[in-house]
Amino acid sequence: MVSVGLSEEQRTELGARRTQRLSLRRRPRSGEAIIRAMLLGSGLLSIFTTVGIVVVLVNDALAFFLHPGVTLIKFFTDTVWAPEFERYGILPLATATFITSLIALSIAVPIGLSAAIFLSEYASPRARGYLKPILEMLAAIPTVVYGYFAVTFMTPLLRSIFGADVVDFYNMASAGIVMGFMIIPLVASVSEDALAAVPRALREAALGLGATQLETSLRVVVPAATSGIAASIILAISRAFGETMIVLLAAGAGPNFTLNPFKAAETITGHIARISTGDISQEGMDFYSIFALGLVLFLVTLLLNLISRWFVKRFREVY
Amino acid sequence: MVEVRLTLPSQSPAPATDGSALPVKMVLENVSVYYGTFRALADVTMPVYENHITAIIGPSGCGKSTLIRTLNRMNDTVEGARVTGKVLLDGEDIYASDVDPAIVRRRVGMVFQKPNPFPKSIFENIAFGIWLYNKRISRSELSDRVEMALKRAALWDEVKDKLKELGTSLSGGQQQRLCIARAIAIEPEVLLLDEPASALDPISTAKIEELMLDLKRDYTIVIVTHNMQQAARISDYTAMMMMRPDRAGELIEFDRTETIFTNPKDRRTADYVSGRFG
Amino acid sequence: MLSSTKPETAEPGYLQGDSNVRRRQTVARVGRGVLFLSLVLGLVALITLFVDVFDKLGGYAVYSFRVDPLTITPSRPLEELSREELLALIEQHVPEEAKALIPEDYGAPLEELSDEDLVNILYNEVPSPETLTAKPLEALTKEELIDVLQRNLTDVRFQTLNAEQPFEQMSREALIELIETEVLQESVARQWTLFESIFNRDAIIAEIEREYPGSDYEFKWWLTWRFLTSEQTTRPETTGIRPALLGSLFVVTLSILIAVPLGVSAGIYLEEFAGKSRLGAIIQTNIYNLAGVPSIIYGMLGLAVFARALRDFTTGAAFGVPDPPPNGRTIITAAMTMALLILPLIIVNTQEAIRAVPQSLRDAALAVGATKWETVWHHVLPVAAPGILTGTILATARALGETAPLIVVGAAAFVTLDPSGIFSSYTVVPIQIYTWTALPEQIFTRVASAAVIVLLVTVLLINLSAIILRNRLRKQI
Ligand SMILES: Nc1ncnc2c1ncn2[C@@H]1O[C@H](COP(=O)(O)OP(=O)(O)OP(=O)(O)O)[C@@H](O)[C@H]1O
Ligand SMILES: [Mg+2]
Repeated sequence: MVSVGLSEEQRTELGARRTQRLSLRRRPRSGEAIIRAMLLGSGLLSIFTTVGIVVVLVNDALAFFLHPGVTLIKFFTDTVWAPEFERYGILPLATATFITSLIALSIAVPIGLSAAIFLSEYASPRARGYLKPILEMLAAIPTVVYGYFAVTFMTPLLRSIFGADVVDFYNMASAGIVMGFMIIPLVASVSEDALAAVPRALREAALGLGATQLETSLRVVVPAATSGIAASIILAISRAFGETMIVLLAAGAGPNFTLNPFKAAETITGHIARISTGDISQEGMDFYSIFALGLVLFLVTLLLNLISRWFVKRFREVY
Repeated sequence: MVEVRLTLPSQSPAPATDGSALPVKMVLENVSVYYGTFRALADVTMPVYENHITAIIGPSGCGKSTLIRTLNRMNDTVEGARVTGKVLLDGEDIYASDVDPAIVRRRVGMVFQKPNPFPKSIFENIAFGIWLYNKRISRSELSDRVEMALKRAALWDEVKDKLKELGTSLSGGQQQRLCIARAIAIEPEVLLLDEPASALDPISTAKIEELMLDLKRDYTIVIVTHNMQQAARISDYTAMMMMRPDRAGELIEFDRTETIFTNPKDRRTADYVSGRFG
Repeated sequence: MLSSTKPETAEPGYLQGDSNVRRRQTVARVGRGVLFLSLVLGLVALITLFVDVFDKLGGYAVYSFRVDPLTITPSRPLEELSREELLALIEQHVPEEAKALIPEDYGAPLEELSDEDLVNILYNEVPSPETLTAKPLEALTKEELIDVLQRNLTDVRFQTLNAEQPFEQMSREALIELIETEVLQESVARQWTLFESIFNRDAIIAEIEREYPGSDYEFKWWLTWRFLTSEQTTRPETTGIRPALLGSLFVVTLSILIAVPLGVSAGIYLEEFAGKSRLGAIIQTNIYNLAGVPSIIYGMLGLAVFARALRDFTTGAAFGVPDPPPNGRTIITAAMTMALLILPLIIVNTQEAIRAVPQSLRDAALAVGATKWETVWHHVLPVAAPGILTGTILATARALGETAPLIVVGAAAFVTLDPSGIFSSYTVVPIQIYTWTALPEQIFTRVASAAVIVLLVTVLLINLSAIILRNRLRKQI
């Protein structure tokens, strides 16, 4: 094997190039400084977005709360939302949000969690390879399509089962059930991640002691993944509170203080969307009131997201 | 515990055991490296002689890679790594605050343990470094320099017909020589090699060793190796490192390779080079 | 399927234990079944959704015309008819009871009455006598058909249609169809669902012939080329989705153009430059929180900032654009709102893609003297690009389907014009679905089903391509 050395001529050349040795001193790289600044700026944009949301919501919500006759106490305790009579009680909207979410969760959590356990503990890697993308696709369906589904399928179905005199055309049950379908993939995929992160050794130990697969899953793996599962459920609550299109289309187009899921009632998001659909003026109480509602929604979902992240973090620390 | 301290007046010819005075290219003075709070390298002081090959040997985890990476500031890329002490290149401290680490790496090139060609063409692998500091270079000069680097790395004959193919499509040995070609193409003054042959077959290893002996005339070379024969065959000087009980690496002996292998001063060195150690 | 360790071989001495084991095994089997069932249930929900959409997409439809066709075709006055023709018409159109009373009412049997009396009989006893001699559309010549169009359409409409496709070049059948939609305002009186139409075909046709005698009926699909390429109208039969498709294209493209450079930059900053700095950590937490903010809140941000505070800019008024849409309801408002919404998604995906690039590659570039940015630009980004692309594709799908924020920033107005630039008003496909679904007339849900299919297929195809791309990447690494 012959490697090529340098000829004398090349050697002199190399020597010459090296005598104009690069100085170690920093050179001005202004282009790079500008790029760095731009990258930082893009990062900061996300902070501005958050600040923007808070400022916008607080600013117009303030205009609402400073209106004579509106007080915080009334806002949170009055059971009537009727701007034409200067009654702004969040309760009817909040109960509707709460009921639709509750229905959604009571569908999404058991089904999503069971699906997650099946995927992580029972399904072969091959089956998982097919099923997970399907879940992802389910999660990708636009919510307006779910809303369409609620109106054209779930509502008629409920009315044919329980009777059209019992079930309103717009009703919380239909919206809630379909919202549950929408949230299943969220619960399933976040919980599945949590279950999959539980170390193999734990499972093998349980199986080694003679536990059945089901006992291992339910008594060992699921408890070990509690934090991750909790995170998925809280995330689901947050998603349900913030969901708009399904409830806007199917739940009802007017505030209504009722606990009957077969009655029509407007949720917080539904109200915000409906009020801003019309050509409302960008001043006035109608306009300001939706920002007060938006602020409540934002704070609640933010809190839920923080709790959910705290659970995820705790879970990561354990494994 | 024996502590080897070479007190070196920077830039001056070093005391060599054979009596002749050799020019010093780089000097480490009381260099310690911390990863977070963990001290991986403790108070290393040693010279690197110009146009010679210096081998760094020692058991796994004793800080050889850490040491060699301080010579071109590669440790900067490690989150939380900190270097204290001085590392001089031609008498200038490369850790001084006004020093540009990119230029340090320009003058002190490096080849890594695992071949890491860019996922680009063979030509681009070599050309990138040249182009970086000479963006107006003509296409033909660039080709000439790529060709020269590949020839010196003894890879030209194998790749001259497929310069457009991906560097990552070559065999492991070829990839490592490509990385060497990439390193010498930028014509650094010092070339650092961290176990360049650890993953290679004997033939590729022999090629690389031969290459280094050839490169020695134009470059100062520092090489980390686990292979005692390799150190003995190619290096002029050898630095022997060990881990202290607190797991910090230290330099226990530095001398001419002959001396290290035939007449070491430290018992641990003798044990290690004769294979009686770990 | 189920690999159970069988308890059959239990020894008699362990009878107690045996029954316990058996019970546990049974529970295990049932439990597994329940878990599997819930997965199936989830899938059934998905399938039901698709089936429901398809069910509404087509089926037998009976038409009625808002305008009686015979009133618009050429006819001869009754007075000009011959005696034989008049007698034939009376025979055909006057009900038997009325005929029986003729001698009494007119003082003589039919055969003996004058022509004038015959005409009077027709005027008195037939609901719309002037149509009696009208030729059916099918019997008209091409020239006559064009003439019908000319007489019954406004000049403007006539010219527009003629410009779209010259009448002279159209077939008679096409002209008749055009008259049916444009002049007669043919509308669906009732439509059955797809499955009814397939499985109950005979019963439906029998019912149509009983309840709607003489009416046109056909198997009608709602998702047609005409639907995709027509503008919006107020009638389900003629409305189309072209402005919405273009609106979606404009809004989504623009929001991607805004969000991708910003999102990728932020991702690069966080992964390559922020290190463990406090600022980096704050931004990171903030991004995770933004990702969880309900989309309608982004709509409110857009409403207050882009549509209201920056109205002069988002309507183009500040740049001298004439006739700005009211309330800042323009494409650019929507696109900027949507860009903020998908930004966290793009940032997080960019970060993941950059994190997957091996450190050894960065080392390689740095070791030949590249600066941090040169390393990122020349080596990290090209390797991360497919991952970033995946994230961008997912963001596109998201932007395409988002509805609530656009309702809030004001897309819901009835828009018939194609968007012409960033300052024009607009509608998008999901907004159309919302509008049509929310309308009280049931038939509009059939129109909505066609739009749903368009949206669903696009979104799912986009997602599928992202999933495939990502799986490919995983295999490579
Ligand atoms: N990035 C890092 N962060 C934290 N600790 C590190 C890091 N890199 C190395 N270390 C630690 O520093 C010590 C020295 O590592 P180094 O890689 O320098 O050893 P080495 O002598 O090169 O070993 P080997 O022969 O196995 O390559 C080890 O204890 C190692 O765990
Ligand atoms: Mg090493």
